Amino acid sequence: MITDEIDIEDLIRKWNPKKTDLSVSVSGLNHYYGEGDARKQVLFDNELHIRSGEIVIMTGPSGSGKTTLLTLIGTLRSVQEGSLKVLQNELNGMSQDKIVELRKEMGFIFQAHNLFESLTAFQNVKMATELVGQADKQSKPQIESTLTRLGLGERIYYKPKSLSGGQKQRVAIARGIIHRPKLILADEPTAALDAKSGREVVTIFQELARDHGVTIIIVTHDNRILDVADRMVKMVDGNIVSNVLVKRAEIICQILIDHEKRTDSKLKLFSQLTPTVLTDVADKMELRQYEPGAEIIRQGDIGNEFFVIAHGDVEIVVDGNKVNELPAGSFFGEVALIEDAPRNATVRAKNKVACFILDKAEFQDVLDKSASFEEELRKAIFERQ
Amino acid sequence: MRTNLALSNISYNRARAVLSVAGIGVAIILMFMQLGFRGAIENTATTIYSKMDFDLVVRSPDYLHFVLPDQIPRSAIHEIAGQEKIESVVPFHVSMANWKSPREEKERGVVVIGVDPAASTFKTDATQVTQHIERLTSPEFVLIDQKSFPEFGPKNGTRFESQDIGVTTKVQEQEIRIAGLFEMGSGLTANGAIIVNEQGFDRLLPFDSKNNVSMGLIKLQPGLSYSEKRKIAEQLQNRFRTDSGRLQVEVLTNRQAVRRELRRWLGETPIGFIFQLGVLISLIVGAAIVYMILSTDVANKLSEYATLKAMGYTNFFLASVVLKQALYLAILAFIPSLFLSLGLYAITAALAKIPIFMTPGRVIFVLIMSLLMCMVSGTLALKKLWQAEPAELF
Repeated sequence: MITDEIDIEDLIRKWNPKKTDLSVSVSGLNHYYGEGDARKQVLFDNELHIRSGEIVIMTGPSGSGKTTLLTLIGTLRSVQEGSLKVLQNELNGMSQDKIVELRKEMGFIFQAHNLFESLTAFQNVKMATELVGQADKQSKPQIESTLTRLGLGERIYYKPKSLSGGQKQRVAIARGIIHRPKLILADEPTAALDAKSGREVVTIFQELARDHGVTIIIVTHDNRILDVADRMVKMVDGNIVSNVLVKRAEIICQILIDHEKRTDSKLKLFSQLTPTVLTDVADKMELRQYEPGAEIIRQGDIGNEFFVIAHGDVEIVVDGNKVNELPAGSFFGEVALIEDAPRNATVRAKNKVACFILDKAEFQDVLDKSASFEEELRKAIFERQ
Repeated sequence: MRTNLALSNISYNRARAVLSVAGIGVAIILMFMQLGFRGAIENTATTIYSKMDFDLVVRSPDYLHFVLPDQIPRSAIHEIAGQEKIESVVPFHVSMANWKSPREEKERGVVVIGVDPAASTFKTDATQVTQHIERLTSPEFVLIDQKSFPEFGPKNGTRFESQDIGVTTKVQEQEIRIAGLFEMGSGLTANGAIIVNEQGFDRLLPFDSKNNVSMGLIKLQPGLSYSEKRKIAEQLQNRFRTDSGRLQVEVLTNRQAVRRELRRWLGETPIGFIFQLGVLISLIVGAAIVYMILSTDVANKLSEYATLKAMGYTNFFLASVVLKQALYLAILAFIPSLFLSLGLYAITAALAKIPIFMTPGRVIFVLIMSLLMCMVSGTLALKKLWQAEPAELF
């Protein structure tokens, strides 16, 4: 079973961030370069919400504004118009002192690595731990192990002059992550690296995101690392032209479409959706977990939600009698929504269950957007009756 | 231990550091030399005073400096001698004259001091001055200062020694004979000095020592405090006021006389100003060097400083890195410069025969000036630092 391959706990954590977990929240953001007649708008009403622990890959042609957006998020430019919240701090109008403080919670990895030439690799990385007041006793083994992991074990006490471009880049990466920042901003971090070290770097990124909830925004054109993205943001001419939660769409595909295909179900509820609608639906879906025996819905209750089983099995109970069982990939709860009636059955978790959930409004929204979805749904309802 | 970025920056680029230290060192050595020369003038200007034995001096209000003292009537010192608390008043004569070297025809300016050999004109512990004073039994006899320059014509070509005793030559076209030696140093106006008795002084110069003196050296009864001495000096001076209120003589304490002499040379002649200007120029040169070094360094490392800012380091920290570099350069340059200056002092003292030596006060003063100089330049170089723009790093 494909669903068994998915770490359900991790999936849930990733899927259901709390609202306060928004790590970066861009809203109505405009930005201009130049003054007077030479004033030129480079960002147009940008909207972007990134949750903690997300790995975001930003792409777009040069001059599209992605670097400007990155420097704005990184507090390296001041916000001119709109709202930009980073780690729960509104940057628009923030005092310089607070900005300097906030920077300590971020890690920057520059393409032109910008190492301190007079310091060794070790000292370069240590500049970051000293800033956050870490004691030497604590930081030394950490720095050494991080550098070793990045393949610089032999060169810990070398100065940048004696390091290759790729090695310098890895020192810069170590410096950008060593102080456990909550947000890492990286500009082409893997461009100078061979496949193996590039992979090691993104593996470290994934660990940081998964184990420590670090949000990572990467501007890159490196196709080799696109697979780590939770979200892909594409910018063109100062506009965010696409903002896709890659992982969700993928998971939906994995769990649902594969299930539909495998079981050769006549219900093509999700398979029929266009990728855009699918990602849209995926974005709105909540993932909820139930312990064995838990009632997911109760007969007679007002129905407000639509359920798709991502993992586990459920029992359908009508008037105290078990009438059916549904496996992962099945959905339920649509009747009450469509007909605006109370639940006609109780659904109970048979084992550990996880469900994707759309609320009434979102469900309606999807119905409006996709004729095929509605059609499939009606077909399903018809067949079930 | 915190990483010392400033020190690393300096030690990383050794060649530049050495060049910087050399540049700043030159400025520091220049300062030491200027102050050394100025100090030498102070020492030289008062060297004769320091050997003379007196509590108060009575002299003309038109006194200009030691060898242009004008004159006062001898009766004045007799009158003072009769006052209360006065132990003795000794006549003192001084002037410039021309000395003909015994070895060549050329004439040199020489300080001529006329004393009463029987009176204690010089301090008794200055035995190198007083050892032959009683030999001045004839107007033709002179004692010659062993610190007189070789151009005065000692037999061995460098310094008057005992073999020069008995040598005859001319002062102001008058025959004189070297009867003895003393060691004093002659001040700023001449490179040599001689002592003669009062008759000898009248013989060499158009002077009437029976009726006039250049100065009177007053000794007071022992046990008086300085303020008492000053009060007596004032009282004495007021005795010689004309009806119109004009002073006929001035009476100064030893300390006042020395201070006036210094003021005369360092304040009223361009000499003092020249050296002050020298110190100022050294400071400016040093500051310019430090500024150039640091601002180039900051410009080269602008992306590193921008990175520090992006990491969350404060402007204060960035500034402290630059200023620390300035401080290290100042200290690194100061230490060798001090030792080099000591060497140069020794060489100058030996070659120019001027009393130039290091004083703790001067070491501290130059150290403070060097630190200030580097700090000011460092602060100016910070202007470049504020250009570090982390947004440019991406």
